[in-house]
Amino acid sequence: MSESNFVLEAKGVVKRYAAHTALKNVNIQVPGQCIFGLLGPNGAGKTSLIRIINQITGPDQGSIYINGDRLNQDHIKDIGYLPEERGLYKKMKVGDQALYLAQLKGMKKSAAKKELLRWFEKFDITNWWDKKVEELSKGMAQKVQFITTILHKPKLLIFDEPFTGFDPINTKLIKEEILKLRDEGATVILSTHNMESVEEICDQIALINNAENVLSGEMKKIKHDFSNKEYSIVFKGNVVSFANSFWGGFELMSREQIAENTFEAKIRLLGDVKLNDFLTGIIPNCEVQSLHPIVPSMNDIFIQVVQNAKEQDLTNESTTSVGESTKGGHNE
Amino acid sequence: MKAPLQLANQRKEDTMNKVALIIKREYSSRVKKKSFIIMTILGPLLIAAFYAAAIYIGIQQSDQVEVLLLDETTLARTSEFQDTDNFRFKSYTGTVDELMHELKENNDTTFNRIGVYLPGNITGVNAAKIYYNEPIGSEKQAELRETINDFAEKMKVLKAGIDKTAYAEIQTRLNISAIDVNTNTESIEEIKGLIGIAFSFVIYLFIFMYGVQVMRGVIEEKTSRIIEVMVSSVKPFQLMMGKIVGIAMVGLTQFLIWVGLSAVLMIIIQGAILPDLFDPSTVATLNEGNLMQSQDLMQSQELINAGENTNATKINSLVQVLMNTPWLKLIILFVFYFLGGYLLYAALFAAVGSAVDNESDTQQFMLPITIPLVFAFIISTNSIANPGSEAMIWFSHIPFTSPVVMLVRVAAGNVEWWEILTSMVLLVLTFLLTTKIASKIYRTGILMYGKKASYKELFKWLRYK
Repeated sequence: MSESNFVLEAKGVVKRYAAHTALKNVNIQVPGQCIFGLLGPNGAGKTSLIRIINQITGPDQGSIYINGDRLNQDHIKDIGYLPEERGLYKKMKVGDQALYLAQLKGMKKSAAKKELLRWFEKFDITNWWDKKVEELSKGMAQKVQFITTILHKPKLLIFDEPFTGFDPINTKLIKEEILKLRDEGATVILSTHNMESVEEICDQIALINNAENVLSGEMKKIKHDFSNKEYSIVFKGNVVSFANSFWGGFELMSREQIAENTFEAKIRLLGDVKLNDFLTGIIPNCEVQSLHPIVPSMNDIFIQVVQNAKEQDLTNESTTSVGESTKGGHNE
Repeated sequence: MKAPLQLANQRKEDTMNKVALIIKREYSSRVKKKSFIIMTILGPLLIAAFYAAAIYIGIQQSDQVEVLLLDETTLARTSEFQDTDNFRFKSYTGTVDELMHELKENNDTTFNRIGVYLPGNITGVNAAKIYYNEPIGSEKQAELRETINDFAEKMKVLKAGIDKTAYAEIQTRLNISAIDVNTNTESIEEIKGLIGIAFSFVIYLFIFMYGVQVMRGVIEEKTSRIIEVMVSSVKPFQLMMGKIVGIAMVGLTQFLIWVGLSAVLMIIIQGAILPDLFDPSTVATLNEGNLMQSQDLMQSQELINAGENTNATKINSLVQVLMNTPWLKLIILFVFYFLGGYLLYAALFAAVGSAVDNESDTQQFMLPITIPLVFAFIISTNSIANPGSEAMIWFSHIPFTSPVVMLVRVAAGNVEWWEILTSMVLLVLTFLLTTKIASKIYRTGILMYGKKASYKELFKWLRYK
């Protein structure tokens, strides 16, 4: 068995459908015991990649490695997958259904039942056992689905939009469970458009756009890389004198009066200018009350990367005519 | 690390366990349904009711028809025209127009009334006429024609001055039996044909019913969105086969319960309606050799000539056909052809289910499945007259029609064992092929949401990895 630092590694994965390419040469490395955010706009290829990891479809080229082993049938029981398009058999009873799904993941019936009862108790849903799935609300069904995903204690968990349909309280509950699973040793791949949750719980991210991995790594580092030397400053004094202290090295992005004689301004340092230079310039003219760097949100980074790519595409498209890109009914 | 062989075995076992789980769920979720239980119990009751009705119609005293006899020969009433179960003769005096008027105007609804016109020189014109307001059944019509013929014949005999007893000697009614050389039994082809068609109909019905259940199951999995969870645990092919096999077992369960219950009910009905059939002597006669049977038949024929007990004879020969029908062979072949035909079509039904989002979109893809099935059934129903025709032989070998057609031929006899074998092998091979093609469409289709696929796309899916 070859050893690898990564729980999951995708090497040069290509997936083509008749009308379009869903993934072109995607490389991803997911280290162990982390929460890995798999981000990207709709139709970027996230679901295609997740389906390949789950062996629902096969790649046209490239391969997937789990702990250094090439992906094979035995890995099915090591993976827990909560798809975005998820559901349950409507006419089946909740308990029977959960047992069925657990057994399909290779659990023994008795062990599955024991574990299920433990989780049902934990989530306070023991009285649902004999209810039919169609009697459950969407949120209730989601809870059951979450349990059936993690029940067999997989080493690798893949959650595709796990928070949709949950109220804030249950969202918090699920988030905490996901963090707990990581702390207990599991590796979690989280695919979501909910950037707030990404900020909150992800350690690593990969951003897939137009079938390619355009950005990946540790989230903190990415955020740092994307910070544009922007700052928010609150000061007391004359706006004119604040503005007067401006010279070539700064750009005033916005300004707002927040109290009498007190303003909040957002500035960006241009070129090689240091923050010190800026401070030296304004301190004689006004009273600085606070100053903090503006860290880009994942939301901003997402939009920035995706929109840049789109603009680039547009310039390309003006020279070559591309009509096929909107066709093809494949889900991501 | 496990040895490769051990690992392979372990995987195989895992796969089998999973498929077994799927089969179990598909089976038990359907068998527990109310609709299944109702159908399973109601089915044999319907068959029994049908059977009882057939027997009842067979023995029932049919309504007597009143015949107004306009007899210009003036000899009819006294000789041939004696009242029977079917006819009550009444002399009528008047013209043909008056007779017609009478029938038209004085139409009694409680019994049927017809008129017979025997012209005075009936032996010269060789013609007579039957007038009716409400038509009478073909059997009665035949009886009436026979009576009129006999009468005319006797008139001629009288005219020619032939001795009456000599004439009676000459007059012949041969008992001509049609014996099947394969079984050396006499049988009524129509009844054999009907038995075959009954089997072919049940197969046709089952393929459709359970094929559609497979399709619905796939659509249900798609619309409830459980499918993606399922295929992350099992291969799409395993899921599809698990479903197909599970539903096949539901079908077999239903069929076997039907056979069992029908047999019990038929025995009860026969016992109630025809107690003498279970008189040991009757059963013995029926079960003994063919020689005995033909003797028995001859005796029955004499009874017919004596004009007695015709209904009992009819039922006797019906029972004979039923007893001579190779039920066990038919049931075994039924199970095979049902499974073969069902498996062949079920995979296609599954593929159709995978290609759509709801049942109303299935129309366009159902057509190519429906046409061969319906066609096969039409061929079977048209075969009563000629079960050994060339078309029947062809279609009993073509796998898309053979499950429905072959049993008609088997019920009629005259099928060589190698013909059955060829047809079976072809069926199995085709089933493997269609399943392979269908599973390719299926595994792509189940993950496509929100868009109705076209035939063009289905062909594309065949090539996906």
